[in-house]
Amino acid sequence: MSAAAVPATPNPLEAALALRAAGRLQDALNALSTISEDTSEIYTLRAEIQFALGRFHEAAGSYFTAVASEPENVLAQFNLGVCMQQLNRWDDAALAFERVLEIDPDRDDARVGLGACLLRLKRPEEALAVFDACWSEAVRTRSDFGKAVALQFLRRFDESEAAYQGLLQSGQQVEEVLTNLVALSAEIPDWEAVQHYASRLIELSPQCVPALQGLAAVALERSDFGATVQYCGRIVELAPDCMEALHNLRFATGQVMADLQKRTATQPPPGKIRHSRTLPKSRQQADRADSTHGSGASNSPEAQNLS
Amino acid sequence: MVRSQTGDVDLSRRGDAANAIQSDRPVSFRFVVTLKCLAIPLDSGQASPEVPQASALVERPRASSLAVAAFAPPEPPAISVVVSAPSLAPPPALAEPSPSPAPSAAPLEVATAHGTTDFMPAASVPSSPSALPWELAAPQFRLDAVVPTVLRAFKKTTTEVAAGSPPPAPPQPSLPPPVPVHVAPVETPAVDAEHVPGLARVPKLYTAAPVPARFWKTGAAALAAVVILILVWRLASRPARHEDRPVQPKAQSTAQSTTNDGQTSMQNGDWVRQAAVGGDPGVKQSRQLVLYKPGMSATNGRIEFAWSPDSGDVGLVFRAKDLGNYYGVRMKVMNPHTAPTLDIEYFSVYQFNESPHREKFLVLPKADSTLRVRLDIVGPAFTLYLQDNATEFWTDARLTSGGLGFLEEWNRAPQVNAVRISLGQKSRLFSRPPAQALEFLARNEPPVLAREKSDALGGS
Repeated sequence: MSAAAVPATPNPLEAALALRAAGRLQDALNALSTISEDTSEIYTLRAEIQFALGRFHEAAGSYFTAVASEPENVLAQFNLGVCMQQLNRWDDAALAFERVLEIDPDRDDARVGLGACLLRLKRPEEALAVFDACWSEAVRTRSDFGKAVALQFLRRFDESEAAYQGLLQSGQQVEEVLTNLVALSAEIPDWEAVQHYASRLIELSPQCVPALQGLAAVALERSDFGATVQYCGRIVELAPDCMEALHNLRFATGQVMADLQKRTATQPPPGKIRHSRTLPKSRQQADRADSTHGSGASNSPEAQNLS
Repeated sequence: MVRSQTGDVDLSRRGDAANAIQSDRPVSFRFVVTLKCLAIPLDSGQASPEVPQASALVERPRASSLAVAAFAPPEPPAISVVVSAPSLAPPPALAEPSPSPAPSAAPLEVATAHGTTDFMPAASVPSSPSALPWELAAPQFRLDAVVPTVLRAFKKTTTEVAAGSPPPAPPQPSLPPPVPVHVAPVETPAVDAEHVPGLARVPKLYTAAPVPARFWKTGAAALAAVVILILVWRLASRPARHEDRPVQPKAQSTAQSTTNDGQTSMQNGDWVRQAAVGGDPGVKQSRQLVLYKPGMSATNGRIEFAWSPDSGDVGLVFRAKDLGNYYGVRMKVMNPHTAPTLDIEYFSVYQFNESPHREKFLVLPKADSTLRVRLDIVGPAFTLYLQDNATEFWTDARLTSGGLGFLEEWNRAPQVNAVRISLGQKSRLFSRPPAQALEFLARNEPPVLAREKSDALGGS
């Protein structure tokens, strides 16, 4: 669609704004290119549209130009940081957010952005301090979450878990919190906790790969190869590139097959199978449990649900 | 390199893990620590953020006045960090032979050392382009006397550049047909009028040998050399300001009165900055041209300065008519501490098409903390000098005049000292009545004209 379809507006800037509001971002960008005036506002508007189009590199350049010509433009500085985050340029993003905070120390959203960058830069102590400095209710959940992650990276697992638990109780960001709790528990390691959090997580999101990974790890830890096969198979379905799952699937399958062979070798002839039905019920259950433990028919409730 | 579900997992750096993957031992999973909810959206300038009670009266920075129509920016990407799980318990050894190889009795290998954290990009995040260092400081060149701070983006390219200069592109009728760009060996640095088409028409300014006396003998009669960046009176009055220290960038409007030594000239508009915009060559590099305003229509000239390679790449631009027509040179030192090698890269942007970049590598005998760089622009011939030795010589006759200055990409701001620009045309100084010129010279004593070295001008 061309800009001509829009009601005629003499001012290309107004036209660009109208096009942007109408969702015609590329047309809006084209309209902006006809403006000879290159002010900070024009650059900012252009950058917003470029960002919305997913052209983060160009958006960063536009914001950067706006910042260069108007260093006190906190909006452009902040958005430059966001663009840098999108481009995985964590150093630059952190620098941009620091600049924002120099200009406006009250901007907690910049503080959250800075903290996230510091976490990515493996500077959890600084990140923790940044998150601690957050004051506003608007970012309370995110700052608490950031603190919990920073503590986790600092291996202060108890404090981190407590922080995560607080978030869980408030019902905020439950899925992310549980995901991180699975990782935390696996790092400790506390397999019971992994099982617990992963089970909760998979209830919330049945296709959550980290949850399946947690359950698979627990099953592997417990030598429950049947469950391992099921979890790993599911992971491979959802994330075919997960080499760990592929490998563990192969390994667990081998274990299950070996156990089956073992059972086949020690199994009585078919005629005696009927006789086994006469065994006491408790003995049958014990046999079943024993066989399922090593042969793939897992007794794990999550695995049974999956199967 | 194998890929995990969250991004690249370089198992090659974890020998045990790689072996474990290939062997018949289970491996631990790499658990994701997600930071997704820490992602922040773009600020459209419409939200009214909370203000703490203590600072409720503080005026908040203004938002863009253009952000009037709401629109939904894309969702920020997930940010994930991967942590490793601890070692898994070894599986029980099977008593009977199994069809699969027997599992190892050794403890299971983990993908990474226990407790380590490894950061990897989330799959949804676009991969980072080549690591270009971003200098978020307001653009600057560090000068002893003059700091070319950001003035503003050009209102329009042509209006700034074309003031007093002919419209771009038409070749000079006096010049022969365009000479294809070629690179001459370094050993032939002299600008030879007999061998360079079109050069005979321009006065011979420079030779390979850095002989200032010869320069003045041959050039002064035909060309008026102007020393720019003179702030002698300020520097003379406050010599303590001349010390060699970085100058904080101050991007202020040209109308702002100056209080800082050495910035008067800049803020009075001697330098202009022009940023590449959509459709311009160099936009992907966020290229910016910092041009010396009085030399916007210069035909011949010289720019020299002292460059600290440690501070980053330096770029020169000359014959800049507009954003679509200029010549550029970029230099960077590679392996500065082991085998310092200078990478000289030069290119042209002609009619908004950027030529392939020609590169030349020069092994430096030692890593100098400062390199003296000089570029002579005479007619269609350009000679680059390093440490007063001719290093590169090339010709290009397509652009005959235009601005001279520096080129920044991603606003890399190298330390550049002792910038000295000489323009091969009549300057304002020499176009003044003789009495005024003499008075000016007497008052300011430009060291170049006085053949003196000066700290104020860098005095290389």
